[in-house]
Amino acid sequence: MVGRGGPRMGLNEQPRRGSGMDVAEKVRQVIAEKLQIELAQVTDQASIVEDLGADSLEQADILFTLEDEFGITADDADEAEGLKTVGDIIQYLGKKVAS
Amino acid sequence: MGAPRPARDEGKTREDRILRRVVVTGMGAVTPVGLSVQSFWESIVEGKGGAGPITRFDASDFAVRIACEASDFDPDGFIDKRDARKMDLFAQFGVAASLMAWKDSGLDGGGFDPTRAGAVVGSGVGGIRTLESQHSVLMEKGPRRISPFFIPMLIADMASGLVSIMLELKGPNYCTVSSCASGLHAIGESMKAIERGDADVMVAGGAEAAVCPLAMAGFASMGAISARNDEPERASRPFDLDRDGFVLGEGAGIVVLEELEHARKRSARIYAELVGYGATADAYHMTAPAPGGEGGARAMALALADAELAAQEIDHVNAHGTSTPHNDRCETEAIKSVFGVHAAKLAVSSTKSMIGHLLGAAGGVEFIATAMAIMSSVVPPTINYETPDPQCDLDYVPNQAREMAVRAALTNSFGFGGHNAVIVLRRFEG
Repeated sequence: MVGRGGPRMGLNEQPRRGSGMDVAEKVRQVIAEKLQIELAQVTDQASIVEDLGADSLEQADILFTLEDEFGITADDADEAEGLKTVGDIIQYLGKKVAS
Repeated sequence: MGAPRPARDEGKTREDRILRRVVVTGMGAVTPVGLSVQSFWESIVEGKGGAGPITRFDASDFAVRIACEASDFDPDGFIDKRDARKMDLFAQFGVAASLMAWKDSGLDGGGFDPTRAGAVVGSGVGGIRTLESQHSVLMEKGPRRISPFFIPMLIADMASGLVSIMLELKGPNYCTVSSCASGLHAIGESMKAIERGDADVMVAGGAEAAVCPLAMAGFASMGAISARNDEPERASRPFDLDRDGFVLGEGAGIVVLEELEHARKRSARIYAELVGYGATADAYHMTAPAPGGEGGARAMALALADAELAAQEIDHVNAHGTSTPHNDRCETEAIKSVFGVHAAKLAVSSTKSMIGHLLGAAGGVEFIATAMAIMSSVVPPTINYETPDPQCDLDYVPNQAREMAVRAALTNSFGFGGHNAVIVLRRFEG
């Protein structure tokens, strides 16, 4: 197909589904990559906005990428809005993936 | 040509009329022949061209498979990874060139009022590469997978916005869109903003990254670009009899313009003075220039009148010189109609012979080449000039750079849609 023009935006990353990586690991990895921070900073208690410094676009981008990785869609925008910490996201996705 | 301005009082000079003079105090560039102003200038003085087979995408099915790419450009040296991933390549070029120009000016050390410092960075098509890749996402995965960054990355004004953000410039800030004249309009309008007193400092120029499937296919379909795929280095041949279209280029050219007293107070290094700006429209055709280059001629005349310089005071013209049959002929006619007998004495060169056509960035990069010519007393060549065209009979500085004094010079940019921008620069004596 006709080549990919733009810079990497996460959406063009190769999904690594079924590699044995669990939800929590994947969430931390994506957040670290998107925000260009150390994995060690991505603790369950860390707030995406206050502690890790993501802006609203980066927040949405993180969620979109994770949804894409796990093949799910956030049907309820309100649900997604309530996700404040890394742990919140892990929980939310864990439930979606299991269902 | 018609009197563009009312008669001036006898004995009064331009300096009496224009109380705030504008000078260039910084320059930065990302080009197909050099990723800094210094390497760009050295390359063009050497007559080194940047055309080659396209590497940014697989062009094997395309009618035109050549371009002038700035393929060694790495945003890493300028922009942190987290920001770079939210910027289309055109914005990365624009920001990198602006950072270089800013550092060059010394204003990165502060000492200016940020509310009186602005940025105008033009672009013809903005984030077209992002448009293409996100369109593929739309087709393959649907609308809900479109990146939250798509809109900010797409819009043509974002290079200008990012420059304002990164340099903390709170003065006038917008983007000029006039195709191939975008970059020069940005510089001209910024010059006038300073003259009017709306700003003391303006970061201005253009950025473009359109070496992508849609643009290459579109330009080929309209017959605007050279199909000399087997000899890319000979394809861009402005004013030559065998020219068959331009070679698409990419990059950015940005300058720091400053009010003269503001520059003097901080002992800034001054490259040249901007003394004239002319902007007109052909009002003729979407892509072909008006017969006789009439619109371009009026813009040149207006710029000269603004500069209060006579034809014979101009030594060099950095032509728009795209290497299309139409432009080069019409531009030649326009130069002759404005300069009359003196036209034959002008050193007319086309930077596009070496870097290709940078579209919205062309005006910015070519303005830099013009300022450097004045500063260095060297006029860069028009390369690939092998067979003269009887309809293009000026001195195009063929193939070899020329050492000569340049007291004042003109630079032209004429865009699809009939947009004409011309700026006159003069050596700054003090």
